[in-house]
Amino acid sequence: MKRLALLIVTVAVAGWACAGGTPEGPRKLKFALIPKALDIPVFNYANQGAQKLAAELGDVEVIYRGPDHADELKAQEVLESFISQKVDGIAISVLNAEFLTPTIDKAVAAGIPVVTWDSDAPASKRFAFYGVDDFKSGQEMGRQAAELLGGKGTVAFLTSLGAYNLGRRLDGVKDVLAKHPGIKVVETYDCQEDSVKASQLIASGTNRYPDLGAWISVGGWPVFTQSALAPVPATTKVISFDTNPPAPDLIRAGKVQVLIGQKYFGWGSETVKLLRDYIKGAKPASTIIDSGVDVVTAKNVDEYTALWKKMEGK
Amino acid sequence: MMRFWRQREFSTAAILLAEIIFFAWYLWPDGDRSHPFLNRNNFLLILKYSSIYGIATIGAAVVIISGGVDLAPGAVIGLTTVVMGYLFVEAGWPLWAAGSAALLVGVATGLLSSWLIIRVKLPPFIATLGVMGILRGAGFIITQARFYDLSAKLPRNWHVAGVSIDWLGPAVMVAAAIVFQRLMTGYQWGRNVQAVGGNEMAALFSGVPVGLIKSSAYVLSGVLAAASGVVLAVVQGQGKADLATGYELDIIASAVVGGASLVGGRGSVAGAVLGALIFGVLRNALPQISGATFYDRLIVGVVVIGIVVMDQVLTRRGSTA
Amino acid sequence: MASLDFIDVRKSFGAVQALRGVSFRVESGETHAVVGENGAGKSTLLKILAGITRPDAGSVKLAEQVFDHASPREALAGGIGMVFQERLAFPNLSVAANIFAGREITRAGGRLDHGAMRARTRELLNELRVPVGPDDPMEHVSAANAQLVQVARALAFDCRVLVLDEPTTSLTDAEVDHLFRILLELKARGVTILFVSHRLPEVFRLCERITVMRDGGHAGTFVTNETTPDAIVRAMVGREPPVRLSRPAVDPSAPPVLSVRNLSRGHKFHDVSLDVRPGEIVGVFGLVGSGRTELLETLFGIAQPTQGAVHLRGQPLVLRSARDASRAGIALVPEDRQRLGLHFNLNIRHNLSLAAAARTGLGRIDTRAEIRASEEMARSLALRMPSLRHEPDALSGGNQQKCVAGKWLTTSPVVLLLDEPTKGVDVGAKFEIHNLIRARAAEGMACLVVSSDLPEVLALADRILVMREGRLRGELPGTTATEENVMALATHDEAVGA
Repeated sequence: MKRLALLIVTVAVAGWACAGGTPEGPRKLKFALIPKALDIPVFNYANQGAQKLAAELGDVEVIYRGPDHADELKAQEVLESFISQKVDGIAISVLNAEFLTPTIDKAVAAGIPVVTWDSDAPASKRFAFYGVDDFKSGQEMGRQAAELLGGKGTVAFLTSLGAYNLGRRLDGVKDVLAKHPGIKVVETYDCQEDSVKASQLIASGTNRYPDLGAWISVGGWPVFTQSALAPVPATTKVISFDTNPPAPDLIRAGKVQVLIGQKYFGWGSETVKLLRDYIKGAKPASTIIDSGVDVVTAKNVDEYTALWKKMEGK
Repeated sequence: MMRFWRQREFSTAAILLAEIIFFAWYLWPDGDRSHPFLNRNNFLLILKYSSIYGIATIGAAVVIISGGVDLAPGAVIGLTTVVMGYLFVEAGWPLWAAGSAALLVGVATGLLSSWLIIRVKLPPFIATLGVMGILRGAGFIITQARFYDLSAKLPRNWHVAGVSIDWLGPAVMVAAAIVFQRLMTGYQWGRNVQAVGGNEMAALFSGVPVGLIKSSAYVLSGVLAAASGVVLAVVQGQGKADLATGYELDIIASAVVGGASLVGGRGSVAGAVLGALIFGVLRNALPQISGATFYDRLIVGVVVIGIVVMDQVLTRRGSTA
Repeated sequence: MASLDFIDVRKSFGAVQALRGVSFRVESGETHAVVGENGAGKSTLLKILAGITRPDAGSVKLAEQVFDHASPREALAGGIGMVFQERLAFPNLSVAANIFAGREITRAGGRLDHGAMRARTRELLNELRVPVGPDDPMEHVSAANAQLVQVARALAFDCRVLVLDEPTTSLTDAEVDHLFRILLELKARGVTILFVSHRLPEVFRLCERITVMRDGGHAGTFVTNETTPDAIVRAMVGREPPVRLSRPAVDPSAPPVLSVRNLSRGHKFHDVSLDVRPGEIVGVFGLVGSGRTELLETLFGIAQPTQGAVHLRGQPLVLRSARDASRAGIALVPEDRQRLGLHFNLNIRHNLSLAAAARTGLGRIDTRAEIRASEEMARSLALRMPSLRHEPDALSGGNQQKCVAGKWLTTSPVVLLLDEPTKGVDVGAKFEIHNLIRARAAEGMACLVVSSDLPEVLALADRILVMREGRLRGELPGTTATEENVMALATHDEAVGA
């Protein structure tokens, strides 16, 4: 009996605390910026871009929160909590489209406009998607690879199964490579979003295929550290997604030939802009806004790095 | 003499051998290509990546033998890489200093876990689960979800005295295994650990300093996990808060596969390292099976069950009454 | 109503022959005792009855039908109810759950019928006049009542043969009376009762016939009214029962090794003062609940006293843990040897060396020296074991007790505290353990022996202190104490004829 009473009291106190609601005050627009996971380093730049823009605009507050690692249930929890907090807008990078679509629709039904970035939920009621066209960027990777290999050679893929956008990128690569009968895909490796496993797979893959023509990685795991690509011989080309440091250094070191960069800062700044405009009544011209990609090679790497520093505000 | 061969470590070693033979056969290349599995490079790879788990599993085994359980190793490894990263990259400390300081993360963790378990009297599962959360959180707070790139400041293709840095992990693992196996079997401390794990009350009544022994186990577990983290930071070149996520389960499983009983009082350091190698071989070989990508997790699960069942069968045959 | 026949039953465990062709008959409805030293084969016989083991050869007949129970469940189904010596209960479940564990009453679809189980439990508990309720958590039930709950469990289903293994070791006289009354009622109902016990007075009181086992064989079946306890002991042991040996006189002017003054611990015990001189064996007699175990635990540092002082060799002693006590030279052989005295995950040699090793800190183990020391200790204890490399579960109760004692004797303590040193131990081992204590006392060790076994206290002690309800009620010199005057002090206020 005592335990029941204690339980009731605890629940009551918790409920009262939660129902406290949002504090009153000067009415800044409150936007939620939700990455797929907090531990994927690239998304930090989204936050940076968003915060920089919010500071410039003055009437916007951006809350950056997400699941600490890629877990769709946790992502749903975060989304739900923002819905009950009644934020003015949500910008989310969707971890799993099928899973999160109903929750996104719930937010929209509650009067909260939702825009997706980086990874979309196309079947949901979000009013816009800002990001790379994963399929097109995959195709670009395929094109770069085919050019580097001169249309002939073996290729290994590095991906992480389960993420929609990574899958689309891979489809794009395969689409282009299919047109080059001289190029053979020997293996598709799944690193399960673990950069250590990615290093391990690259090492053992190189061991198995010492004459590999190229590694194509649809995620940035191999380029966030110098060690991951160390075992790869000079004769193997590397084409990878993501350009944030230290990736450009790897181009300079000759370990990587092509990097595909997304608009990392834009994820934050452009989506905040979209949400703000939407609330003020200006709807975007199209639902899918292709942010475009940056193709970084040895030729333009220094230019790119300079531009990056500017975006960071250094 | 028969009893010597009946010891658990030998059956674990036999399983490891059988596993290697199996994959050597299964992955036999056609044509005149070299064997992808059975070669020196791959051998080093297996050792290199197993040692991350292997070093930590030594400490985990000691904790399990003492009757407890530690869920924090993965988080310790992660936070240690972050601390290493911060000290080496941001604060500019020399590598050896950063490494030594990072080991303190392990000591602190062990002391915290011990305090929670012995003074606050929390069950080890809950206490170390909480510590795990605290450490992961600390890692995120420090890095703000960025990561430190140690690889930029470390020599490319680093060789020390002609030996690749990749041997660091295996060397630490083997050294720690030898030292702690000896401590567990030939020194009173080890005997006391087994006594506490087998029957804590009887150990108390026999004058064994139970609290001290348990604390030493958790501190050891922390320090070894931190050592693992230092190795990882150097070899992987990253200081990232989410590294080694989920490793604690593999670490505990390695100890159990190597003969440690979760009830306490039984198990060995050598067995745990062999267990880590069994999983390491599996992790290395499975991606080499073309098209097996989706079966990865399933196979690992089946293997764990299979090994533990095999162990039950073998030990049952070994008992007398 | 069922008779029980053992026909040339044989069983070996590896090299050890536990039963070498045992044959005897228990008549239907009879109350039959089985006595024998530990190692005589009684436990194996019971394990066969309970369905835990199967004989290598020979057969067992229940009600003239051969039975071959392959599991305890089958034995239960066959009508054999077992009440074991060691507490085999589920402390985390209720009394009713314990009674029906494994054989729950279910409704259609497999759902548990708690109502029916509770009702039946209440019925049984009333019958046996056990003052507990069906929903009481088992861990709060006293040892004596737990025993009766076990009897209830055996009776919950059609029980034709009730087997009790040392049921009275933890019971007070009043509780024993209660149990016996129940057993006699059951007997009147036609239940065959097999009563295994070391306590001959009880055996003589309750049973019609007595089967003696010795060294795995059948040493005779006697009709109770036609024999005497001495004759039974002779059959069990093959030798004359031990007689009280004359003790070397203890110098009364020697300063005491252990000196306790006004020691109290809450309501467990109060204002206890005693001295133990070098070479002296002081016996503390008291029944369950008198605070004797708590006294020993406090002297050993496991618990802290709330008042009073202890001096060791003249120096004040403050103990914060058993470790402190061990280092000071105080040793305790606890009552519950399995739970508090032995490590089943370590072998016998490790067990024997543990206390000494724990005391000297964290150094290297000299394996050869350790083996030598353990072998010597095992020899001096006459420890019967397959080898030092085996684990203690290979030892009989008496040898386990010797092992625990040996562990402490290895440390050469100054004061040896013993709590019920021969509980659940066979006559032969009992004799050996008593000799052990005497030998150490002769070497100058101060011994404090707590026991509820009156003959033991009378045989061993130089002085007998009697405790009742937490206080020392009196002291009697060993030479003139009798069972009556000790028991009188233990049960009521005036000493009789001291």
